[in-house]
Amino acid sequence: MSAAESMAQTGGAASVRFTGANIAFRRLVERGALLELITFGFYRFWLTTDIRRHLWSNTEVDGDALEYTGRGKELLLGFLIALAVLVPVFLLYFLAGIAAERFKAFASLPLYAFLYLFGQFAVYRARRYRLTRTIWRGVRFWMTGSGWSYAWRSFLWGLLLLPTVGFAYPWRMAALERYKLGRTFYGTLPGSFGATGGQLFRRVWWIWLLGLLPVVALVGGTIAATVARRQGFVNTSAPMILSRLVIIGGFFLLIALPFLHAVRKATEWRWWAEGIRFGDAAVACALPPAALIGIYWALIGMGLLLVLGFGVIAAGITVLVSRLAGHAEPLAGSLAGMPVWTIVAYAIWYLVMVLAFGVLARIFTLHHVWRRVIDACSLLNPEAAADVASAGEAAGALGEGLADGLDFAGF
Amino acid sequence: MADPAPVSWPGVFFDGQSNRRRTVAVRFATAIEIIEDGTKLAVWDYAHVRGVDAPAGVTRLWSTDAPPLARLELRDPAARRDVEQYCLDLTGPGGVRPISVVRIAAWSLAAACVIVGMIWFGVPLVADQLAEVLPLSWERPLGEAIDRQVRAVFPGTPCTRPDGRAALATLVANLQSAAHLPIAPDPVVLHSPIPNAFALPGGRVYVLSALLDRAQSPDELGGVLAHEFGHVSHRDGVRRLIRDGGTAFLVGLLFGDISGAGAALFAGRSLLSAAYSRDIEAGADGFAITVMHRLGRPTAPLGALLLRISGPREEHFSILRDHPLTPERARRLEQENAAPSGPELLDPVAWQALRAICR
Repeated sequence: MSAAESMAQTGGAASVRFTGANIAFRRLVERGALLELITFGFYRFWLTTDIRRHLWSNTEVDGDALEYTGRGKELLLGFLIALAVLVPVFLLYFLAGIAAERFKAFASLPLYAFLYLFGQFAVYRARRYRLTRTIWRGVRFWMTGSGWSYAWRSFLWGLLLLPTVGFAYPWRMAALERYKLGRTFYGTLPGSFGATGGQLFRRVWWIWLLGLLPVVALVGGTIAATVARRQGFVNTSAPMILSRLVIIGGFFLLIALPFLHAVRKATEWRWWAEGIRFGDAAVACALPPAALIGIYWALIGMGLLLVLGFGVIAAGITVLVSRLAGHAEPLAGSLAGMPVWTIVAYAIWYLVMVLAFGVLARIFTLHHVWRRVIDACSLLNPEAAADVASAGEAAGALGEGLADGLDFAGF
Repeated sequence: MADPAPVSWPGVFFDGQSNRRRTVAVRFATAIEIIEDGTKLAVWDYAHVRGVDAPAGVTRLWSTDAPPLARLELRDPAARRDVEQYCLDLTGPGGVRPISVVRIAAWSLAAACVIVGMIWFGVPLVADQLAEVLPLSWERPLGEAIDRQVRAVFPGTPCTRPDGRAALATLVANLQSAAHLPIAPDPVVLHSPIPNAFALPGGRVYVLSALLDRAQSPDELGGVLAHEFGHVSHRDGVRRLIRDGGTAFLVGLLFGDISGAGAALFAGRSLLSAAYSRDIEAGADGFAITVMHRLGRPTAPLGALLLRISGPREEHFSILRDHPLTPERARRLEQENAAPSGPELLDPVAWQALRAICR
């Protein structure tokens, strides 16, 4: 923060803002979900591309909007190439898994580690694809570095999370961002990451502790109640009442979790944005910690409404099934006795529900958060980013395809 | 169009070499002229001008003759009218063209048909071929891995009353003398309220205790076991595994990230696998018939047991039933039935001990 402030004194500040209309994005993702349904999901490549095009071209830095030059066809191609890579990998993984199961439990752990590494490799390569299709003022962003090198870092830092009960998380984030941004360029202007893990830790440690509180209360209360019962305490005795109160308190504390998550996200976004440097240009971010609370609660409210709506529909289907099907087959399992149309009805119900939740998630956690964060940022020292010569080439979409295939995909 | 009135509009130009923002005058003459302080920076032929992504209210142009990232931005609505009037190939190669949803939908449908075709015809074919060539030494560890999962799903403990186990061993030995399985089978009885029996890859056979309660003679239970041994002999377990795995993979491919692995398994396992199982069950029934004939025992009791468990009613036809229509199977077992000519599979004392194995 102080570095950013001192920079603000030497140079000027330029505005960064989001100019898109909510309704335009909503229409885009609703239409996209519908098309995903009728194209068996294949439309996802074009939907992802359209979402990025919308977000990028409505993000204005110092008066000039970004441009996203990626295309859906590239993502489809990347996916197909990734398949050619992933099919043999999955087959080997499957066979190795069977072989490993013979030697009991932990034998398959290295395989998970390998898939994780592969996923992180894909994440890095996918970032490269997105970055090299990001244009501002006629000059592209690009990056060097190796996907495997990044994957190793991510993995080794990830190993540290377990013994430190997650407290290594800020330093892990900082190290990975340093790796990524330190190898990122805007034209000939090198990027870097100026924020540290310590800074993030100082801002989020209390959130982490508070987040553990309901878990501790629920687990601790349950254990205490069990122990008290074993030792012969009756329901009205003080230890039983006390442990029950702790459990009830834990439930109420669960309500606090979305607040904590929203505050953590806002704090992280701000910390991350303030760490971004390109040459002497930097980003200032005035996102208040409470900025995202409304967005997350709106998402929860809408999500609950959806659950209610789809619950009613499912109940309707079930009633219809029991009316028409008559009796259940004892020999056949739970699904096997149903006629085809009920399976199809449930499958469509399931797909529409998944798509509806996807629409919600994209509107709130992607678009609204993006807009809020972008609007809170400004570019410090914009003169340092003027007169930058173009450099870098567009990278292939294999990483995107791998990330899609491994379920590691971002936006 | 030969001599358009040379009007000049304010614009912003990026030459694609550096990110310098140039405020320019844009003239629509015989070509687009981009002028900064009286100096012509670029002249873009109308036919080569393409439109690219821009926020609402901005027209962003690129020329195929310019560097790939050169951009010209116009904000004046009147200037945009000129662009639309003169630049007739804005969506040409390199420009942003509206994607054809119909084309994507048509190709998706074609791809879906291919994948469904692979699931319907390709996967069973591959599974059959692989099941033939996969050595038994591979199948056994596979079975052990699945065995662990099955035991997690069926928490019922194995029934271990010694005299019951001895009776089961006798019954199995009698059947094996006619079945000649490559691995001597060792069925396990599990506590469960569901009357059923099943075979896993690697030759493991499970009998659920409720089936013992419903069985009324050694011939009925012997028929069930012979049927399951048929699955073992035909290596249906591996076949099913390969088929389900392949189907789940292909369904996952079809729906990608929108439905997740859960739906893929859901659809893969129930909707499609049962469709081929009619032939497989008929095959296992055939095996059971052969074994019972060799032992000189009747085949009708197996059909009677099936009917007793499922009930005689068959109202709606469904491809989803795991077993072929029970009356159809019972009819076949009735037709193949022969009067007993061989010794009983179990004496009455051993039969009672076997039925009490779980008590």
